[in-house]
Amino acid sequence: MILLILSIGLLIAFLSPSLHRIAKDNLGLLLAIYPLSFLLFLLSRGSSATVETHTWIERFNINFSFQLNELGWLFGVLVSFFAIFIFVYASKYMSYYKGAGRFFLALCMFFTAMMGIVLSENLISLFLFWEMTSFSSFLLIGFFHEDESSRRSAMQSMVITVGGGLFFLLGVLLLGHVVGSYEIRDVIAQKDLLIGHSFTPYIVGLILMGAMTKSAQFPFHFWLPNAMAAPTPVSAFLHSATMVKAGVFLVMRMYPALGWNEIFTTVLLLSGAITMLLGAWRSVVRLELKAILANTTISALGIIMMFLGLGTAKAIAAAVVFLFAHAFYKATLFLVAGNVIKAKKDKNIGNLAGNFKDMPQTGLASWLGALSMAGMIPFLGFLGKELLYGSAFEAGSLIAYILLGATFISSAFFVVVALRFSWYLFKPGSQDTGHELNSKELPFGLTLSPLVFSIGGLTLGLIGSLAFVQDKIAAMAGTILPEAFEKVDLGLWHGINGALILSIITLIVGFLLFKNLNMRESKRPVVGSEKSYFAFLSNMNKLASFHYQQMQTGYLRNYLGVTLLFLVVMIGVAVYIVGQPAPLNEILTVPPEYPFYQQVIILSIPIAVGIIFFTNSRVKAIITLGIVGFSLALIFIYYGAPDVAITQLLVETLTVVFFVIILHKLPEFKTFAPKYGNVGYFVISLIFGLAMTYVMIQVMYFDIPDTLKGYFGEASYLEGKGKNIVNVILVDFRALDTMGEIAVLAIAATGVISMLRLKDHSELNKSSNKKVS
Amino acid sequence: MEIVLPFVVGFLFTSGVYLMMHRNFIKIILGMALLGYAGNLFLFVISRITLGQPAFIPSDAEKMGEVYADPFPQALILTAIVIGFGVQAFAIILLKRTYINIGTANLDELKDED
Repeated sequence: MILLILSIGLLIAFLSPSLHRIAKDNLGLLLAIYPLSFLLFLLSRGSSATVETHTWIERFNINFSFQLNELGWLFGVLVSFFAIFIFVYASKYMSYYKGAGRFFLALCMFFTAMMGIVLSENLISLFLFWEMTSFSSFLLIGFFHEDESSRRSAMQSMVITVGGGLFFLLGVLLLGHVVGSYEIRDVIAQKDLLIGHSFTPYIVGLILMGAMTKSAQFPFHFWLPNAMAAPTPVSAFLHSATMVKAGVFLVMRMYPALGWNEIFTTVLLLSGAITMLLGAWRSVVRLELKAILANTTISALGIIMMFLGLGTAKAIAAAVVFLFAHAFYKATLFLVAGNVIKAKKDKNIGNLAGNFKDMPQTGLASWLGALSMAGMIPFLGFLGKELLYGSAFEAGSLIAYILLGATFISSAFFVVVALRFSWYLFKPGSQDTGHELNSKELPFGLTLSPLVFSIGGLTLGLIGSLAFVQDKIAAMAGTILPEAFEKVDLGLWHGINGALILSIITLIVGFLLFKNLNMRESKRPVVGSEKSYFAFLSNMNKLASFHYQQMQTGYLRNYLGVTLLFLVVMIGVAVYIVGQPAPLNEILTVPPEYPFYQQVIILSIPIAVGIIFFTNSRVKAIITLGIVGFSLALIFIYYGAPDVAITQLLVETLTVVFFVIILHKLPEFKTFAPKYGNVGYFVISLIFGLAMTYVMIQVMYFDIPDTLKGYFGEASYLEGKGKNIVNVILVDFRALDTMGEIAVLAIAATGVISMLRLKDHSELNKSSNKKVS
Repeated sequence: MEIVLPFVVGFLFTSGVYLMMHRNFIKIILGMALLGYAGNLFLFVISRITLGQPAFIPSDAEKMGEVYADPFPQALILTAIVIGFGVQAFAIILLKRTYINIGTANLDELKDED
């Protein structure tokens, strides 16, 4: 059923350019039915432990299998809920631009892929959807492809996330090798196999590479701010519930299998902490609306990863709640930013103070979102932060207190950003004076979705203490870590405790920072990992062009030389690996015995070849080539292959005749030697020839199985009704082969005939060429 | 005699490849022909050659006796010879056409002309 829905989704995606012609600007509203029905499907089905399996490649244990466990189900609900309103928003938003059909193609594909990730049970199919999100987000980020920076950002996000995905695949393959299954439930059930296994550190590292690149964790954080080149609805979708949350989701999904591993948790802790502080700092020193938000996203992802790394039951529960809070306020604020930019045609926050009277609805949404971000009671953001603080207090270790400090710092920065998006951008009663021309509230289509998201954040905060909400969240946290099931308490009031006091201090510190920090742009990167990315790219290009210049010389002899030498090296490697070659001394010291007529045959070959090399006459060369061919035919006859011999004789005669007929049209037989001295090329040829001789001696020394020989000897008459076995093989057992051979001849003949008939055209060319030369 | 054949094949490979490394188009075609011989003989020799026992089922029998030449590589070589002929014919005509159109049989000059 899930596979069916996903397939229909892809079909819808590819139909959307055509649908655009019918639905015009309402395409997004029409397509929103898709995530809506997905949401309804999930709600009606409810979470369950059943697994839906469709065999894909049975031999390798690769299936399309899907589950609706608490984690995947809730994520799926979140993603499809967001998708509905993103589609609605995009419907109006994209009506200002060309190419909406293309846009919705990529967006539908992206949504489908995201649902595939959260519902996949098989790691290989999860990987497939994983890379599909990378690919479709590439299309979305690069939507304004006329813009160079947009193209570059798209490319960057794809290189980073697809590259990380490949590491992830490697990790999955190793994991499958150790556990013997790619089904996540099997991996979890058999995690004991991983404990102490020598592959485990690699598995952990590779899978984390996938998660960290996707979720923009340090040192791969830099692609995310650049990804704001995408149209606003995409940014909102990517940053809130999808794409970047895919990495977090992966960590959560693999947590039961890998959470015991210290490398796993340590990497999450460290990189999460760095990412969090980095993003928080950069969010207050950037002035572009979307860049500010992008950096807070990085910071928030760092927080989630870090608390997953902390790994206590309460920390996990806190990470889950914070994830939801972040999704709601981040989607709100991104859409708000999009609206402001659209209305004011300005994206620098410094020029945009006080827009409340112009855009009251957007302003309201922004206020609600910002309050949740700042962690005000009673928003969901408050619950999230309260749980983060509380869990760090509870863990009580030194690391936990360091984390608490770091979380406090970035939360204070969040308050700054929140105040800038509310107090500064939408001060109640304020009116913008700088941008009078465009100062109108945007249509309902663009204000509905941010309002829905912001009110969603408020509502969830208020109803958090209701049993069913709490149960769902607890069940989700319990899927990650069973002990976390008990630890979720979403009540707003827990009395005065450390977490509450710290929350209040955060707000005060944030407010003071907001008042005292100048809005000053600083684009200087704190950490230079983006620089290394560009260095890496340009070095790759250099390497490629160096390689190209060295290898692609355009001379046949060089290609031939390199290829043959490589072949010789490979033969050497094979001989070395297998070992125990045949004793050459023994074989070669036995004096060969053969009668006179054989000596003539054997000797005639080198003599004829020598003539080909040294003659100045074309006729002689061609006729002596014939001599080699006829000698070969004699050898075939001698060793019981009359059919081959007959063919050889026939073909040899034809070749000589063919050559002689057009001989007068052929160029003079000047000796064009190889260019750079004959010796080097001769040595290569000699090495190759000797290698082949060596291979033959080796093969002849050892026994090879002759089952085929026996089979054909038995079956030729009984099954093929023929007594000449070679013929039976050609026309019966391997008849398709022979048909292919005939086809090749027919193609060659067509080529020959068409080139022979090119007469008139060639005369023309000839005259024009003479002028050139 | 069997032990001499690998050296004959090696010799044919060497001369074929060396001829193919020349710039003259005709020499390249001659080299291709020699390389083709070498390849066929290579395949023939390494699959256990048997003296004078062609793989014909005697007229009074339904199966082969004990000793006979392996028919399978023979069938493969037969195919290879015929295809080699097709390729060779094509190469010769291509040479002729190139020579008439461009006026050179030097491969290096062909590269420059592009």
